[in-house]
Amino acid sequence: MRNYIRQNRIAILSVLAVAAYCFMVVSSFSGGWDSFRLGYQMGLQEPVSVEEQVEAVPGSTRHVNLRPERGYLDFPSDVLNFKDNSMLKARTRLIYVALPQDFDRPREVVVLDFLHGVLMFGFFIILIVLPVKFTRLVMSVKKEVIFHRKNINRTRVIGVLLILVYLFTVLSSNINFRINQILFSIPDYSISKSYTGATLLVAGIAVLIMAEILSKGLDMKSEQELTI
Amino acid sequence: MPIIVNLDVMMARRKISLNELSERVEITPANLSVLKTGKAKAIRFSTLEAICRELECQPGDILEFREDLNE
Repeated sequence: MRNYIRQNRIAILSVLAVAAYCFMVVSSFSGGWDSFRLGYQMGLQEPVSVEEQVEAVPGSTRHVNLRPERGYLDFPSDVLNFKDNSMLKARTRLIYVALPQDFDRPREVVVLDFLHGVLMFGFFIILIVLPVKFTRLVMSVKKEVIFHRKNINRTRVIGVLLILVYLFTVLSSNINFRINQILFSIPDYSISKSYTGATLLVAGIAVLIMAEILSKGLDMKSEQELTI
Repeated sequence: MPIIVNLDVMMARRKISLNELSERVEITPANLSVLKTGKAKAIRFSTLEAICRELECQPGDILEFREDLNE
């Protein structure tokens, strides 16, 4: 009975983990999907020449995190409220900037963009490896093979990958920040870094601790098996 | 490990085979072989008692401590 409950618990947790992972991946692509959909609709609306289409499409877009120069109690921008035609004080934290196709990037930005591309490639590889390792771990646990050297290695790899994802995110944020500092200067605002929560770092360390607990469990199991 | 298992010596003295001893002490031959070859990490008092009874010996005849074999 106890074994049955444990099996069910493992199955439910596995399904939840896979659903959470899928949600994470889908939500990270949802922004891109919106842009794609809007562009598609715009293209359907009225036929324009190829030249006009090329001119309309930006060379690249950048997201720029902003902070009011005089602190977060300052609202340096104005917005018109159509409800009562009043002007309201506002501040923005993030803007998307479209750069023209013939925009000449400074050399430092080209190098940083390349580094960012390498980081994103690494991130993409991790996004593939992580679920594979996790699935193998879950399958192994489901077969009641828990304290096994392979499972410990898989858990360690998952922990290290989670920490790597965190490091990649921090590095990516810093590279973006540096590029934005080189390219832009917005009145009343200063360029800021995007917020990178430490959830993945904490999760990675927790998984590594779990791997060490599994390792200790394996030692105890082998001792138990070799007690005659 | 500095603990040496002299089970094979005692078995030779008593002229008893591994299978016969395993039947008498009710331990599988595989487990008794692990004990005999010194691969075991620990031995239960109940196992030691059964072996000593069957081989008519003392625990010290089966287990020996040698400091020079320390890891």
